[in-house]
Amino acid sequence: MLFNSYIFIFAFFPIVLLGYFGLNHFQKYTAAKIFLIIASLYFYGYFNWWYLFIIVTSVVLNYCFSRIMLRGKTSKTVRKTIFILALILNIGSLFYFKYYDFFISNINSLFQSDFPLLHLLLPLGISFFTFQQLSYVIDSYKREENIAKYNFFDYALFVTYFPQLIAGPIVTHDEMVPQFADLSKKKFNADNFAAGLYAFTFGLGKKVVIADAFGLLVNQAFTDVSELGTVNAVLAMLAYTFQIYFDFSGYCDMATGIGKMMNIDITMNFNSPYKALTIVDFWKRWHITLTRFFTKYIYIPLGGNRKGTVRTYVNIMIVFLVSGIWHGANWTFIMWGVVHGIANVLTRILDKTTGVFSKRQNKAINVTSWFLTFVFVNLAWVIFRADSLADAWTFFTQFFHFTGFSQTMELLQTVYTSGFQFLGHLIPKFSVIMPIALFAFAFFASKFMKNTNQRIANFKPSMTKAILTPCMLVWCIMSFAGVSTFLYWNF
Amino acid sequence: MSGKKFVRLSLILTAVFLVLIAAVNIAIDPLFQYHKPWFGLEPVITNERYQNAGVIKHFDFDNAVLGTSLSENFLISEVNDTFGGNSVKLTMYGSSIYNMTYQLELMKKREVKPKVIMCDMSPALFEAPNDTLKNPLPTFLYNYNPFDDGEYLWNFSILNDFTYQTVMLNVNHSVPDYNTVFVSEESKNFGREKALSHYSRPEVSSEMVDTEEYLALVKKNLALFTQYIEEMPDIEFVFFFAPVSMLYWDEQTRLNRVPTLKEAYLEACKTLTSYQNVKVHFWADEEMLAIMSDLDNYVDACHYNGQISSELLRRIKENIGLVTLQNYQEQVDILFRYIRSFNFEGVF
Repeated sequence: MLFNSYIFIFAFFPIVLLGYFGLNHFQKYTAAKIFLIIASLYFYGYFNWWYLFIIVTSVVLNYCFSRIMLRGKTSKTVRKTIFILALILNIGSLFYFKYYDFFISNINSLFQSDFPLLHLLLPLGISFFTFQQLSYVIDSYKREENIAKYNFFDYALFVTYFPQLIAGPIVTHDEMVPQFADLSKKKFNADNFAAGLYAFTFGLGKKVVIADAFGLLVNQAFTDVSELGTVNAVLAMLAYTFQIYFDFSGYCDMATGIGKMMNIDITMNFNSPYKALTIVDFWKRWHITLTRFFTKYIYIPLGGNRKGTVRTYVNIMIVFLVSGIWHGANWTFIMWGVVHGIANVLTRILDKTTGVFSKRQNKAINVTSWFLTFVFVNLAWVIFRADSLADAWTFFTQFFHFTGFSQTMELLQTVYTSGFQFLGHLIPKFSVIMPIALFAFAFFASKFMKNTNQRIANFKPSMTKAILTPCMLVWCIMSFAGVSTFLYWNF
Repeated sequence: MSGKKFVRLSLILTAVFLVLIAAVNIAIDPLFQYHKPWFGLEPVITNERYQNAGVIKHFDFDNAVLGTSLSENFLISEVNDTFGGNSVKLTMYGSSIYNMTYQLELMKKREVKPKVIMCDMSPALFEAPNDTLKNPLPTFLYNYNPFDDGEYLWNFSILNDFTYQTVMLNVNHSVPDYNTVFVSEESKNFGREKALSHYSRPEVSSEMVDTEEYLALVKKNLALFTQYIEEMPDIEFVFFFAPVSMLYWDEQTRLNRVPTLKEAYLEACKTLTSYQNVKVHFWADEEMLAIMSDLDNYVDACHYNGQISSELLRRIKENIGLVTLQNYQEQVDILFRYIRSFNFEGVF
């Protein structure tokens, strides 16, 4: 089920709210948790009921592994064996569903072999719930504090809680389970609900009104990248940069908002990444929980920065290579990870040798640095979005294919979606103004405006917000039909 | 302002906005989901896929033209003249029998059934998927389930493309004439040159088509239709085998599919003619074969112009080319003999 769907807004979420707070009101706390687990599974299974089998099996197995590892009388050898088995099963299932065909097709083309492809249906959000469970299994192996207290329902709810199930953030058990147990969070809280409703609507607007409009332009441009020309290639690149930002941050805002309405604080995953001054800074702001996961479970175990400069850079490259692979089974994602890794290492070398970012900050350096970072991120998104590395290369060659403004108006008009067309009946020349205004607004919002987490941190309800929120909510509902799916749920 | 007040005001305003928008869409009801046009508005019918469902649900009619783009160029006035009474056109380009079942299901639920349902038959229908939609259909319109009406009531595309359009065309007195509804704009551009420009001649293939597999699909598709023929015995179903051009048969000859298609034609004739409430028109007379051989009548390999459409209706009206369980084989043989002996090279 999508957040941006009629069934979610008009049926699923109201029923979940009523059921959850209703059961908690009568102090049926375990029943409330079970209700939420069933609702989350329904939310997940709504895409494809077959997915339920995978997620339920995965949750049950991982919980069993954890219990065995946490038992006092389990020997060290058994604990280690179970731990390795759990790692193999989790990573193996991720590989099987997500990377098997990619791996085999590369083997086939390399060795001219003919191994059959499986063409498996990728279970949505498998990368997210697998990583969440991996972190839990690793912490169980380490016998971290409190983890032994969790019962099956605590664990199942931590993995399946629907706001973060299909596209993150990758939350940890110590962030979520205590909140589900906290009695002070069981009662409906109007202040939290108001902030949550505001965040949800804000996120919905980012996704439905902005990201999906850019998505139409991007899809058209990337259908045939060989005919773009300079201006259209730049427009398409910027459009994708904004699409993925508003799409992903919109999703996170909605997850945050839904959680907040239920008194659950969902970990911040997005902190205005296009304000980043360096690429190192960018990765502290973009998909924060993924960076955190890789830092804790890959970078630090590899030695982090404790084993010398060269080893640090090698570790960084490994993390970004894995990040690229995590994002998808295509060489484009791997290359995207590699170029980000290289940029990260180069930034650190530059800073280490000149202190340009850490010691000599001034406005001119900051502006230049921000600009270079933004341009790099834009170029890297082209690799990320392209269907193949060859397409990405063709796209880059278009920057030098000067064709003036040929087809530019047609390309810009693709963002003139039905919602804006409706306004076009009322505002003269709106079809010409709107596409340019959308690019300008997207840039301004991502560079200068407060992000949603900042907005709801000290949320103060006002009459203006109480009028604008329903206006935006209704605008979004009116735009649901025909809108695309979220970009990040395939990763 | 307190959080409580914010929540209350936001939710109430959201509900009010949604109710107002829904009220406008329900009152104008441009897709005729709830009623025939109110306030003296003329119905504005411009979109087959979106409006056919509403027409079936709420319009009064005696005859319905179902089918594909091969039936789009019939004029409503001529259909009325053929069958008598009022007719509606419910064609859909790129349709399939599976797609049509959505319309037939609604037809079944009508209290007052039409007297006649007419439909074209062609290989495109035989070989379409029998268990999935061949082309997208707004299925939320093809039922009576109020829980999926949100997509209709709160949808900017509906508001722009239909509600606003209905009001404005009525205000400006420029509602399109229903007589020519869905008639292809290309009807003025038919001709040999155009037909050839849309045709890409395939390489000759020696591969055999799996006739058994093909016939199994044909039977499944026909069964989808015949269940409604059986369930609605009071309706007369009129089928006609669409006279596709010799360009189409050139393609099939080169792809080595003609013998298989002959089997499919025989199967379709046998199945359909076995029902009492079905009329099947199969034309293989000299005049029709001449029409099929003259590319000036076509815009591509299959689609014929308005003049030919009128000719088909005339033949249906005069019961020309009616085949029965006893004589269908003979007519099919004539057509396929003609195809086999045709000099396709002379066309190019």
